[in-house]
Amino acid sequence: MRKIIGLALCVLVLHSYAQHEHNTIKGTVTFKNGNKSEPLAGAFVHWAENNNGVYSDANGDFNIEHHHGPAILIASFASYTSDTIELLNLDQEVKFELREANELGTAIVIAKRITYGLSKLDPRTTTLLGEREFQKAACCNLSESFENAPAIDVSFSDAVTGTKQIKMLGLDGFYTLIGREYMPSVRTLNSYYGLSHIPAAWVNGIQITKGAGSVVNGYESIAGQINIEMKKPFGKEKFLLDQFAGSGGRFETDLMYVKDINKYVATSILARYGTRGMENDRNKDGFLDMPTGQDFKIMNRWQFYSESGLEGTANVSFHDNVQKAGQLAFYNDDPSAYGIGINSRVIDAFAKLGRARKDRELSSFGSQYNFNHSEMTSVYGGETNSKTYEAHTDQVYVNLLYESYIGNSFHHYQTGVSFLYDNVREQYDGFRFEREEAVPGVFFEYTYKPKETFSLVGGIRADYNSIYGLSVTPRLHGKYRFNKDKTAIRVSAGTGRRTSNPLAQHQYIFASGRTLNFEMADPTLAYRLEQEVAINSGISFEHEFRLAYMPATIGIDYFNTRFLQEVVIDRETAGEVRFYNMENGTRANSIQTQLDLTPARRTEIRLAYRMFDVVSKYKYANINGPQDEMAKPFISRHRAFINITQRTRTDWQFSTTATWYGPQRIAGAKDTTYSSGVFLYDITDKFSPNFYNWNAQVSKTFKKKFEVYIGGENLLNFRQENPIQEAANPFDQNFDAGLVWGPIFGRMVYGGFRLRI
Amino acid sequence: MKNIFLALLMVGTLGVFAKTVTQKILVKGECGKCKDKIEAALDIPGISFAEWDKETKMLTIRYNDKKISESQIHTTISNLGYATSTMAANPEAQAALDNCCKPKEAKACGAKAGCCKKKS
Repeated sequence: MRKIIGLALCVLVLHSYAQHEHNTIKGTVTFKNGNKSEPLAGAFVHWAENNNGVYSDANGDFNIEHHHGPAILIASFASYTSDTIELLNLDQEVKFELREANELGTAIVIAKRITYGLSKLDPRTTTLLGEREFQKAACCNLSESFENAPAIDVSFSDAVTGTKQIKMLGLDGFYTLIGREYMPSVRTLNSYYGLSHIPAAWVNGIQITKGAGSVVNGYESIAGQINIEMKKPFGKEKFLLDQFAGSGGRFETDLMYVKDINKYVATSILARYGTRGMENDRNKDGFLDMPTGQDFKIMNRWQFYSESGLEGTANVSFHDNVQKAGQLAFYNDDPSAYGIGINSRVIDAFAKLGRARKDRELSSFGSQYNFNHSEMTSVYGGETNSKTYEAHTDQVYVNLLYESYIGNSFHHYQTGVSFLYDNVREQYDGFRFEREEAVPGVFFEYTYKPKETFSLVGGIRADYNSIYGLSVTPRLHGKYRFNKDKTAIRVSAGTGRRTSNPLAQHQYIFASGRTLNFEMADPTLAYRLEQEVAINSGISFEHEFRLAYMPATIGIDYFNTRFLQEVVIDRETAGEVRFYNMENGTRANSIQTQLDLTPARRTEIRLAYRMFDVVSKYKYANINGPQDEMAKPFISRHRAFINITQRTRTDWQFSTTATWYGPQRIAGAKDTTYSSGVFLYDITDKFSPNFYNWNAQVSKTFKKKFEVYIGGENLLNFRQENPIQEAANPFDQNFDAGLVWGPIFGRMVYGGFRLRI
Repeated sequence: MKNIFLALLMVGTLGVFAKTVTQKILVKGECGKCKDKIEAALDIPGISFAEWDKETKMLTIRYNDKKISESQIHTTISNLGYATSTMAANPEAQAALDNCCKPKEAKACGAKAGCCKKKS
């Protein structure tokens, strides 16, 4: 092993040009094929002291987050011996060469190039969130895991179900394409609760890309793209037990068990059970602050490869969720009380199959398949006076792709065909919507990468939508690194489009007395509304330097999103909610700066500030005319953030995050100040006050396997006063639980443990 | 509320910036592996930050002078096999180093492949 380390060291010295990416270490994994070294895809690379790791991509490349423990990286792949490299410094490219474990007779050469057309080293403004990063947040599901990512805002969207929603670049979460292993997920009916149905303990890593995404993954990304990598059977972790308990009677248990069938096939079972039992009304408005309910999810994963070069994964999952919320009296079976019952069920299956071409290097076929059936029944109101939302959706997704190069590897391309089918059937309060949408498409993405420091990606796709007809989606990305790799500039531009799901994605409107009103654009369209179309462009800059003695990184980015066609949700008139199309509607500008410092070993400080300038047009605001521009409601124009994380030699970790949120316009508030061209937030009751949120967590890991943690959220115990409008009269048309700008629950403490083997 | 918050933030920050000395020390290491060794050996109580630059051969170190003295730091490095500006390398420790980490051998072999193998 020392020899290997020594050899690797020389390779490193020879290749001493640093390949440094902000916050990450780059490297490649190869295997010996005869006398040649070939890239090894799908190898697991992780730090020696924990299981936080990444997989190498089609080119054998990987990007792993900086880590301030012992700088020892391990690469492993089934049937190969693992390789260990001590990093000399964090600026160098790491090269692993794995050898086959089977040393009997002639080595069996297996082409191992999982591709699925997924290049992770793309030139987009991407942040990687490793497991350790999102575990600094309290718990348990992905909607709660972005508290430490300044790129994403997390907020409550309604005061009865306590669902947390994300926002990126000042736009609602459904404008971000959320991919589960690069397949569109958390869509249509699942766009409201979907992220909260992904257990954080099952997730290996998250990539957050701001701005236009890759055309390979579809046309739906507008604000950005989030990719979620779940733990795979051929990963490092073979057993996991995660137990969480939090105030408010919340318990969550996650379990993962991996079984290696043989060297080619492995399977895993992941299960989660969560319950919230306690009936809590800390703000004394008669409504439970947090719903009660149960959550059950189970998933079976299979991963395999064969000596012919074929490999893939197949997965099936089932999810059942029951939530109950509403007035305390409802729990005491008072038939006149206002209550909410939400039942949802999801069956999901997805698979990937890939095969490398043996006759041509860097070339492979990949395919992705997904079927999803989701259903939901929710009842809002009293025994004799209730409204029911009932929805069923079926989704089919197939993506077939081929990647190769033209001439030499400077000119790389991915091309393929995709098919997306959505069948959405919804009923609510006399409205009945059915939509069947089939979208075959073709795409081509070309990457020009003449050297490590420069790359340009141009992508285009054409899709034929059975309702909306033909559309073309172009995207462009560029990256240039200079100044000895210490400085990088990235640019991106592209369009995105999506069919709006007005009811499913705004489920907070059900918990209100508002009258629903759809304005007809064309009765043959889904919801009689046009598709949403937007253009996104952005530029980002990052630079590494020293602040006194401290290694530091600063990043600044600017993104602009313009909607050419938008589906507006208009809550500006009391007692009503309207949906209508608006041309040249929302304009969103976002500026974010972030400074990362390492003042001491294993201590990291992250400071961030971001500003959103998001202006929408509303037909019925009636201030200055029929199409008034106003700040989009429930968006803090300013937000500042500090996180300090400190780890000790003895595996204690202390992490604390404080966030300051500036005022937000409450829907219905007349923003008379904007029309003069400037925002002058006057802090009246129509604008939220600014507030702080402070979270802290302490954890201790024993023998790298067993971790115990306790923490607190919202330690300043700040709460929005009266999060429910007209809480005393839930059957009034002014009743509204959807006007939420701040925390609903007060201080929350939690604790738990994780056992990972 | 705001004040409590700021006060807590200050306490946290003070914890990070305890009473410390920041200093640069010349350490005669050779390669990236030396960097790793030097930094790992200085990951001990009293030292909050240690980073060695291969190009300039300067070690940037922050330590609490009530817990560890400058001479103790020099001794630690010397016992690892490296010379500093004020102290020669412990000869036994130096002899035990990999070839690429020894001043003479590293110079002789340059960047040639194979020099980083464990001493022959």
